Amino acid sequence: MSAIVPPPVSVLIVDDEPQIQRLLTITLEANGYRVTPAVDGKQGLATAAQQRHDAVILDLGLPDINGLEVLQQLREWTQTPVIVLTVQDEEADKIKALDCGADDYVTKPFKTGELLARLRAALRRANKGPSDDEPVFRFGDVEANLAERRVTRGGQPVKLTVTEYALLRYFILHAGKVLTHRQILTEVWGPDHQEKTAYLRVYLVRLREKLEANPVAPAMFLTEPGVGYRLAEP
Amino acid sequence: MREPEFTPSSAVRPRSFVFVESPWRQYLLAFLTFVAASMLNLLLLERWLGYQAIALVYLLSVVVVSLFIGRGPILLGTLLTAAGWNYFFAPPRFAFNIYDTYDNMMLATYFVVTLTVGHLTTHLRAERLAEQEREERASALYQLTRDLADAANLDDIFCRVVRQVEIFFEAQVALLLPGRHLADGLTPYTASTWAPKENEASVAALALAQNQPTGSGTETFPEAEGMYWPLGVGGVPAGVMALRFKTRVALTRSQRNLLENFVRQIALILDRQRLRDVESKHKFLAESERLGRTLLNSVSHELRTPIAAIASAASGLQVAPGLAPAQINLVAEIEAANNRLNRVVQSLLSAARLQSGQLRPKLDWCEVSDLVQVALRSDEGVTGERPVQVRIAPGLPLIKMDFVLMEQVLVNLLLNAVVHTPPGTAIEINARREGGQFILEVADSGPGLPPDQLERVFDLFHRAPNSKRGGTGLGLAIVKGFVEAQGGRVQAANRPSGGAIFTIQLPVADAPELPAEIL
Repeated sequence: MSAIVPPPVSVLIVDDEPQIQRLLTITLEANGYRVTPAVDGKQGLATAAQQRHDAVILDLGLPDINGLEVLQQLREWTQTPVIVLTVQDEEADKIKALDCGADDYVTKPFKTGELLARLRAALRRANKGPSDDEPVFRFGDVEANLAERRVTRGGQPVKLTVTEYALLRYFILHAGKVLTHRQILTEVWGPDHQEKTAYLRVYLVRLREKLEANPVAPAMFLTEPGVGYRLAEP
Repeated sequence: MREPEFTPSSAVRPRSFVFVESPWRQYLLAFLTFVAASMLNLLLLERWLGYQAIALVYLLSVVVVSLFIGRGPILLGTLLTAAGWNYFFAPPRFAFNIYDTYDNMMLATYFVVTLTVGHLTTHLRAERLAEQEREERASALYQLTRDLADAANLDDIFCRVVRQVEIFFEAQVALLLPGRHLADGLTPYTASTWAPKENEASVAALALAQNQPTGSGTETFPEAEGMYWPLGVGGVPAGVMALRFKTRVALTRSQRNLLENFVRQIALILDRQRLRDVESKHKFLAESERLGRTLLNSVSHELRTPIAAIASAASGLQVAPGLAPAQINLVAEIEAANNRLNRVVQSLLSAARLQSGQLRPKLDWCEVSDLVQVALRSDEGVTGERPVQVRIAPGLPLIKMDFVLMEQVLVNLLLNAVVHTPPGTAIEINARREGGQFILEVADSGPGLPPDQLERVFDLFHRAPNSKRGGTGLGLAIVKGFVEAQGGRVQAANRPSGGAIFTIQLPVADAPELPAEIL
């Protein structure tokens, strides 16, 4: 009798640099993933349409089609998690990619461990059905029960304003994912307030003061410079 | 380039009928006509015609010659022929007496007819002349407009203008353009056929300043050699056209009008040319900026890709199972070297972006404590084991700045402190508000900066003499560039208690609007 082996997780890598392509393939295959390479945007889109992949790693600097364009076309028909590879100084591209539906980004040069962690987190979020949502989020001594709208820290109830709670809830529902300023503002304050970054900054200070063990060196609400915030996964 | 067409002077002024221009010759012609008619009558016609018919021959000669001469000569001709007829033919012959009433009437009618005809032909001639002049003016303007429209460039335009003005006004022409010629002693534009004297520079400058013609023939400095017309339509004149007429006769009103029209046309063309120049300059700038960006992008891609590959491979190796401790250390060395290389490349690219003016800060509200934490943690802790003291004034408002640029600024200042102070030296970060300024300080208690280097530490590629190896001389230049791009200032100083202190000042913007819930 043989044990039922689950099929390996398949990842599509769209990158025009052969060396990066090879390195990613080696690393991912060593960690049990099945890899399909694509050398440019067109091939990437065609491959994605031909066979199902569990995740896509997409370089934004492609020679033929802009990586953002590839992302937009992918998002027209699939919700497969997409992790984009970018370079420093291109915060605008990172934001655009996230707003277009990318799940995460990794800035080159990156460490293999970092990429693998991001990939695992994205896959986990994607495989979690809506009904699997845990009503209780725990981080350190903080416990948030979304079903009961109750937040405690060290067993003591924490008083949150309506907006603070709405913000926390949005973070918890997307724990581990980078959320852009625009996404958070649109979701919590509404589409008319997309540019009001000052709101967000002030509320983040409040939430950190109320929930972080050390508000000056936050471990829970992490800043993604120039892009947005990420709620650390427990 | 094709040869510009120029109409020769004689063709521009076609003579529709012969008109004797010199007054002296007109009188001579009148006299000769009288002599010729008298000879004809005396020697030939007298034999067959009566003396009254002879009068008609005289009349005919005066009428014919009046086509070619003016009023005065006609009068002379009339007087001479009338006297001749009276003396030679009308009875009593060879005397000026006339007794016959009929002959008296004949003489009176004779005068009336010749003078009327003379007046009519003179008038007609004047009309023709005026008409001809209008035609010439129209065709001159047309010619000029056509020439200017055809002109390929400014040089060509000036060349054509000078030739046309020379032809129509019989004057020598110089074109003076400000910034180019007016300032440096009135050297005229290359196509010019005349160079105004140095002492007339002020007259030309006055024409430009007052936007009114000056010099000879005008009310301002009429004693000047040249006449200076500003070349302007409405706004500021683009230059001055200087004319020196061959004959110093005042311009007639119609000539003046024509000249004014010329000037207007030239000014319009100059204006059009100027706009075209501005446009092509803009295009050129945009194009070179695009080129610079493309180059920067491809260089950055080529440098970063191998660094990314090394980082990826080395970090993969490090977690590989079964490595000996020595091998793990070697991989760590690769990673450290690669990180350093990455920082240098990053600095070079930042400096290149600054130099090429392609840095566009994205100013947004930022929280200072967050910024400091992010900077301290970036690159896995730039300050290593050193104690870092962060003091942020309570109640510090949100500051409008570019988070990513400021993070780099702080990291560079921290790295600078780490490189130039002995291990274990404490580093301080202070943030506060002073009036309308946000102050961010990075201070250390190391050896400090040489006092004569304080101004120069921010220069690109500047490295303090006797400083340790390491560092590119880029870090502080980038700090300065990034801070100034955000409208701030940065200064280096030595603290009284010892050590260097770098102070960044950024303007505090008006407090952002905040929701009522948190106020």
